[in-house]
Amino acid sequence: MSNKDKHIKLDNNPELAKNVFEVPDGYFDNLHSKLIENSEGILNQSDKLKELPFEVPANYFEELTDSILEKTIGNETKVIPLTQQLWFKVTAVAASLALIASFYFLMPEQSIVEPSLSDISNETIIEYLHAQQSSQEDLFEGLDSLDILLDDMIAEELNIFADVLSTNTELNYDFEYFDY
Amino acid sequence: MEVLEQKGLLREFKSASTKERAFRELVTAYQERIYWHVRKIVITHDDADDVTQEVFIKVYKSLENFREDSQLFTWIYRIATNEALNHLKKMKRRTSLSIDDVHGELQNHLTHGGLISGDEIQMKLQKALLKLPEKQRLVFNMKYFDDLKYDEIAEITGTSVGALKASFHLAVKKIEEDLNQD
Repeated sequence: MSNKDKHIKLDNNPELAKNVFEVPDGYFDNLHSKLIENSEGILNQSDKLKELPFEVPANYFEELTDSILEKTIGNETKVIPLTQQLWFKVTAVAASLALIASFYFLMPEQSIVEPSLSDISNETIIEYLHAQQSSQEDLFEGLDSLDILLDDMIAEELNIFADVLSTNTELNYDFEYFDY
Repeated sequence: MEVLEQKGLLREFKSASTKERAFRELVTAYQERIYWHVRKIVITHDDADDVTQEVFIKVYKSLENFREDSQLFTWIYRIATNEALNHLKKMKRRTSLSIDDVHGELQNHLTHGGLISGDEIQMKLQKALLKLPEKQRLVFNMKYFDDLKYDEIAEITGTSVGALKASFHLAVKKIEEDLNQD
């Protein structure tokens, strides 16, 4: 074998780059925890440090549960979802229609009494017509008196306005500049 | 961490007749853990109370759409973390403070606020924690106090396990330096 054949090159030889050392299984998984645990640091010297210096009021956590449930489940039961409302509405309308239809179809025909004008006496009809006429007259009279009242009010307002204009001439201008 | 039987609970929540029972079970199982997780971030009891309630309201509203590709408790933890950090941001906006000032404000609550006890070393640890960047503080809290696994913290924070280990290592180093001072 010539010297040229014995010469080993680091390049182009992946076998040489292989790590020949080994570690126990799972070594790196626990390494960090072991380092912390084994440290002589003050954090691992006393369990007391793991206790928090905070307090809560008495019975706080019982009250907290109630408060959370009130703000979540409690709120939800008060608000009826839209779908449920629609469902109720649709059901109610359907039930009403069914009830009306059942009345219409199940009611015996002979029980529907058509009142006939011939059964009513002439006096009754005349009395009814008089009553109708008089109530309409009352209404018109009422409307007339309301008109009179409003006319009076407008006249009074105009008089007051005229008085104000006569004493405060600076208010007596027209709005032509704004009329565009 | 004890984990509720997730599939059964979600099935019960989706059924109108068992929804209330399922949600009550969920609140009872997780409220304390979530409260303490939030409390460590926002420090005061009143703020932790508000944020915890807000977390469970959000959970209630979105639970039906919860995709089961993560664990329920990591999902709730994630919501809680977001809500607590948003609370700090709101605090910052409301008072026109910088984030450092917000931490100063939290330190002030630690020293003078109500419902805070603990001995000197515990208070010192909390104060040291408030000096850390947000992410390191979060990771430290979840690992050291809540005993969560890196995989779980990675799921909650959306960060790689490697980055979390680095954050935790830095946090531990800084805290120990701080605690060993004077």
